[in-house]
Amino acid sequence: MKYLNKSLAVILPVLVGLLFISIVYFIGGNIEAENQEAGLTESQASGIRRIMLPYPGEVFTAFKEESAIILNGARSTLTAAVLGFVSAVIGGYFIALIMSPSRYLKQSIYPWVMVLQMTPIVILAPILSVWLKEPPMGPIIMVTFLIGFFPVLANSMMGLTSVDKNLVDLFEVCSATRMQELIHLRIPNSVPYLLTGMKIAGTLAPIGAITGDIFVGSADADPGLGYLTILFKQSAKTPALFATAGTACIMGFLFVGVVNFIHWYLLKNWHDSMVNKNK
Amino acid sequence: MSIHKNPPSIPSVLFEGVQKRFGKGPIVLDNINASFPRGSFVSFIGPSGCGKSTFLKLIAGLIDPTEGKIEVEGMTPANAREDLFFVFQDANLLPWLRVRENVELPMKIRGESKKRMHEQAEKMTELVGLKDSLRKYPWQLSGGMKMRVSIARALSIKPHIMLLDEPFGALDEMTRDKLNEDLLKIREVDPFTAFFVTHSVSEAVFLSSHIVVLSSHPGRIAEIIEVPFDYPRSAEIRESQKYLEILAHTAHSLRSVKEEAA
Ligand SMILES: Nc1ncnc2c1ncn2[C@@H]1O[C@H](COP(=O)(O)OP(=O)(O)OP(=O)(O)O)[C@@H](O)[C@H]1O
Ligand SMILES: [Mg+2]
Repeated sequence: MKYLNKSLAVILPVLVGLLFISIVYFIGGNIEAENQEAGLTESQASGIRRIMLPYPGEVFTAFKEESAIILNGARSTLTAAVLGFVSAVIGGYFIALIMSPSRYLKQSIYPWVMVLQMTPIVILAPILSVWLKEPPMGPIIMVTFLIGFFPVLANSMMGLTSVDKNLVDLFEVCSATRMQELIHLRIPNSVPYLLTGMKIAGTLAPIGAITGDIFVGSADADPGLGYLTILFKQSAKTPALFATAGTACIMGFLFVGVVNFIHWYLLKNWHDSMVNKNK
Repeated sequence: MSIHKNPPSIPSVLFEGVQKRFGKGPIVLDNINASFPRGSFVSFIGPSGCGKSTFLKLIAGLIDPTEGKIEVEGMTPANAREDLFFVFQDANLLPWLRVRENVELPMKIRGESKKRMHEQAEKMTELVGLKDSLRKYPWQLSGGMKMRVSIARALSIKPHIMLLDEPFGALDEMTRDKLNEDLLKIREVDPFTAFFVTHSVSEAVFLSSHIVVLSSHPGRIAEIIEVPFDYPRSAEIRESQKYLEILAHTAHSLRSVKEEAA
């Protein structure tokens, strides 16, 4: 039974995938047939169909043909995403650490964080590219940072402040200083919350880097996947566009995978989210 | 039994005309006058919400009285912290620390040496019978084991005064009896004055030298019952005639304050 359940977890998604691919072929076949009925030759019809709906094999070929430029784009985007993500985590947690002990600091900083959060990133991106000329990746990293910053900050704030009253009393009975309370109680208490923030930021980071690249990327500034998207669309290379999407998707999984690993590593011994699993 | 370095004339805890209310709420504790000598084991018993936990928090200086004066070992509660520890109702362990680190925490905060922390943690966990669990996390322990860790943590700094808020409230009767006996044994090794909140009459009688029966709304001392058995006490006293008499008396006293409250 257990074995069956496990294999189902593989078989079912594969079946859905196959179903999906056959639908692609079915629709693609229809498109070709319609175009031929309209008087086009077979190769013209399949050319049009390829722009509208490339088959998996064609996407694969496109990836091989464009692999140098796509992989280079992936490297560029991944670099920006990692740098943006790491600075969002460090920056978000740091601001939370500063704001959490004082109501006044929180009152003076938090509204501005909200203002930043409420301003659409796609409008900020061009502004940032005006300001940050060097390094060329600067604005893209900044966009990724801005997207990941808030979830990290908000969750960390929650973790640093929502400490069990009884534990606070325990530290008071021990005559702990505020610094000791921060180090031994508030910071450890905030780790699961920080990780939740990191998961959200981690999912957003590749998207942020690609979006940033779409808006401010250029051919002479180490083009990333976002810029390639525009490039491939302009030259009607739909299969390459799909190959780029696939690459971005894999990158997203990679990112989330790493964050999940950190989550597992830090919480495996004690947190409810982990210990309930190995009951 | 002289267990303290200070002169025995100073009571362990002194309450003079103490009143407590939270903000603009009703008066929780009113007109509390009491003096408990060093070495006593004081239990608080009374209807739910009558102010038992509030009593302990006042002694620990976690909250301040609205009126009146409290002295702990002749000092203000906040200044007496060094001599005092609190065992909280639900063990109150840090979930991310192993048993050893949980026991060591108060010593760490006091800046004790690593060596001393290790020795004390091992000694105290041995005393509560948990030496084998030093490397475990709180979630791997039963409720009774967690309470033992919490007691080991309190003992590790050798407090003169122990405040225990329903430490065994969530445990079954057998485990509770066992832990009661263990607690008295530990007190023979490392003596302390105890202030102990409970809902169980038999637990109060078995452990205490003084039982404070509290009435509610507002909480007042209805009666202080003295239990004349010497320490160390053995489990057998539970069967003696005198014990049963005190038990009946305490139960009666508790019932009258409860009826009054209803
Ligand atoms: N921090 C607080 N703020 C406001 N009211 C409080 C606070 N702590 C306790 N109280 C009130 O004081 C009263 C006594 O509370 P306390 O916790 O001392 O009761 P208790 O005797 O320990 O009850 P129980 O047996 O249920 O634990 C209650 O009515 C409670 O609502
Ligand atoms: Mg209580």
